[in-house]
Amino acid sequence: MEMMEGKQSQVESIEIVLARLLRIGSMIAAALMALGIILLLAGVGIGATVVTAGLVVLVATPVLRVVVAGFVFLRERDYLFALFCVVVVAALGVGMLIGNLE
Amino acid sequence: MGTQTTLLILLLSVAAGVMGSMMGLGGGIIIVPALTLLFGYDFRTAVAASTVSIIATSTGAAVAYLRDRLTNTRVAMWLEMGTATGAMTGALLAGFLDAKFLFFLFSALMLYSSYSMYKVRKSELPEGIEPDALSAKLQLAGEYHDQVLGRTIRYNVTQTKLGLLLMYFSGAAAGLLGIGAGIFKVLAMDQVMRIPIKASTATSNFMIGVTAAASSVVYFVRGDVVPSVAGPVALGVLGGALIGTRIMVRLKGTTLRKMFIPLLLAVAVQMFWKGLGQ
Repeated sequence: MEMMEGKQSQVESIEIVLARLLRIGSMIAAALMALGIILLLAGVGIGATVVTAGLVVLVATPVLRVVVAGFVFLRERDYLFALFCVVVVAALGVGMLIGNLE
Repeated sequence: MGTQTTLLILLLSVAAGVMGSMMGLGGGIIIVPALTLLFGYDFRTAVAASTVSIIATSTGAAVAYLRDRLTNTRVAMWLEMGTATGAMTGALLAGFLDAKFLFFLFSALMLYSSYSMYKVRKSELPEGIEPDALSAKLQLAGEYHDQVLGRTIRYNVTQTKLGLLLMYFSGAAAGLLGIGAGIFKVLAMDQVMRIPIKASTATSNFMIGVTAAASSVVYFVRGDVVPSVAGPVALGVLGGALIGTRIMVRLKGTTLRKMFIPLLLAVAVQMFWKGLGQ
């Protein structure tokens, strides 16, 4: 029973950590995209760059999420799930390389 | 690029974000046809914008679902291994496989899935599910508080290995077909691993952003991501996801199931149509 409760608190902590990360990522991305779109519509030259910056933050967030999840699992000594995160990041990296080679 | 077009794309994307976040999908089923047919953008621009919007749905919705404990992060990490390696295989195999055959195959699969979803349309929660050995070892069981039922739902997860295998094939197929990544995940978790439908859609939502991020990088490098299109789409979808998550937690599982039936039929038709055009 005590072990189960220990597991429970671990599940909660990873969810809070990841929710915070995703919220910060999406807020920065949204702010940049909104600003960039206004600048684009106003005909200011830098608008497209600002939107792109927002899109880059948006794209980076889920990848960062896997990396952070890996560290949380490592901290919890859940080495199997930390390994799962490594597998995911590696597969994503190889997939990206293959896609870009074409 | 006028203010009116931007506002229209924003509004449309809000709608796609609401639907996508409620059902665990990227919303590409709305975004791609709308951008190409209504706004006349070329297919590559539309697909790139749609892929970026998957990340927006996923990230925007995950914040709420993680807090509500609807997302099963352990199931997500386990299955992401399948989708990520599957997507990698899909990228490798692109060009070697007969896309026409794949489109027809998955169209038939979607048709069958809409029928099996119809059969269980009255099932609110799976009952009497025993975890398999691997599920117990990986501690995949989860729990969340259901606002509609007013109680905490504890559930077990079964067919853990088959789930991973299906994710691998769905990851490869989604990469090859460019459609259905979210739907395959929801179906595998709901119908095979027997995870409650609300937890299935929330967990699917959480997962779809990761593989979409990898594809987005490829589209960025190719120059397919057009800021004036992808920006409003992503922003609108993010906003829509905030609304969609609030609606979803107030829905009954059976309502969500009923929403899937026409959607699965629509995807079956869309895939059949694409197969004909190959």
